[in-house]
Amino acid sequence: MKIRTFSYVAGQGLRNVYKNKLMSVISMGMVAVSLMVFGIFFVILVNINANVNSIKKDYQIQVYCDASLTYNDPLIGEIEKQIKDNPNVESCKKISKEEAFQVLKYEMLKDDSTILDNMSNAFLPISFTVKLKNLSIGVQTANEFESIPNVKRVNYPQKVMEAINATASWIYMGSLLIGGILALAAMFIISNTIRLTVFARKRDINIMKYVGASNAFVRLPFIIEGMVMGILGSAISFLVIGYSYMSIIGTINNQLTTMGIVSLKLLDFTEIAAVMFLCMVGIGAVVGVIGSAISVRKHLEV
Amino acid sequence: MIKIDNVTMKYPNGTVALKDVSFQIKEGEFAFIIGHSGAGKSTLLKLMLKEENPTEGEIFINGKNFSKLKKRQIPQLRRSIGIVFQDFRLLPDRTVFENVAFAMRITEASHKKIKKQVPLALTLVGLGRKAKAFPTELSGGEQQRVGLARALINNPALLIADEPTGNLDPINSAEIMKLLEEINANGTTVVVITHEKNIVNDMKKRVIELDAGAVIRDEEEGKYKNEDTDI
Repeated sequence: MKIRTFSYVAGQGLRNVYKNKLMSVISMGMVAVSLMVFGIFFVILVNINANVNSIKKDYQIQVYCDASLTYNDPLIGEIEKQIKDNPNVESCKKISKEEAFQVLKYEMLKDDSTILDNMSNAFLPISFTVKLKNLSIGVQTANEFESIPNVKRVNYPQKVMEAINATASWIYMGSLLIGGILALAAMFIISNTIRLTVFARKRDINIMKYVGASNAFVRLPFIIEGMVMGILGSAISFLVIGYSYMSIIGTINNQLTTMGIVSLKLLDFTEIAAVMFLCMVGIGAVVGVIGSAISVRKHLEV
Repeated sequence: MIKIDNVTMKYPNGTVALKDVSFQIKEGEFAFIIGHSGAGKSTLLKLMLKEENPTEGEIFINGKNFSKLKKRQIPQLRRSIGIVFQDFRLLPDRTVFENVAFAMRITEASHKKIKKQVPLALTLVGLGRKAKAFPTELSGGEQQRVGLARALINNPALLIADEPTGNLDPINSAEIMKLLEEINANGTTVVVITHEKNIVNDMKKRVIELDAGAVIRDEEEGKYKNEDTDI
């Protein structure tokens, strides 16, 4: 198809959106409503995902050395080197006996800290706080640390890690499944709405075919029309969700803080807006194109 | 130009619409295909536009064997045939100019060519001043002229008119037939499918008569057999 022909047919598609205002508004409304459910789901998913990642990122494991070793002992240096050399280690911080003592006294025992009066920090081991790159092989990494000479204990809450990993996997799989179902539902609704538009112009399609128009020539304006309605509908949906999200984000984050859940928070809309817009508009456009292509196909057999 | 060779058409429900039909129409000829309702005229038209495929037999138009045409070649075939319908079949939301231009646009003609050719075609059918009108603003006769202009715009070697005067009064009918005659005089093969006795009798052209799906008469300068009955 030549460029001038393409621009003519594309122009016809845009013109149809304007000429069939009522049908276009209905179709856009249907797209907007369908994708709104998708958008809400997207917002929830992105927030859960971000919070799970944040929890995973902040998760640390503790490697405790033999208590007889002192801060500058070469054996401690050897342990530190072996930990840092592990490819799954993102960061490693050495905790001195004095630092551990302070944590024990002021953060853990607090009011009962007097029991440590007159005691030295010598009984506490030097330890390392380690952040891992990949938590899914955390057990393996912890076992590797345990096998380092002079490491006494590795504090790795395996069950918590496994639960976090399992939750994350479920969220990903669930998101794919629900997202797919919602996209299909949206496509079905759009396809049916466009089918009405196509049906209303069945006679025109028939005439075009008799005069010798190719299928592409007949189909393309409907596809452009479907795409435009998909894009505009999804843009409306995006604006409504964006506005609603920005209206409630402050309240929800305050509630979470009040409840003492500081590790969880809703993402700022600006952090998710671009990806969300692209996803929704992309899905709207694809769904509009496929929906209209399906609808127009059966009328082309003339 | 047109060769219908032992064509039989049987629909899936068992109805036999055409039975062993054979005839030829030469280049530059003017022919009427007449017959009662249900005689097989519409089926024959559908076959000539490759909307349907015959159960048996072969069809050749412009030297092309229809049975060997692929689906994607159908648009090309239809562009080489000008077609005029009883109900005009104009695109209601487009102007007269755009309706005629549409047949050129599907051939990917340039804007320049369209701007030049469409007014000429409209002038030929006497609608030079109605280019900006919409079909609903025109009389039946004028709408049929637009249909004619659209059929002619790509200079087809063959023009098929399906009951072109079926929705027109006698004066408009006569004018449309006169135009078809002029078009034929310029070398285009014209096939008119009709059941209007007066037109057939006045024109004195070749008549192919169908009855119950079979050709029962093929006469040069033919007439309706029964002068008292409109077939």
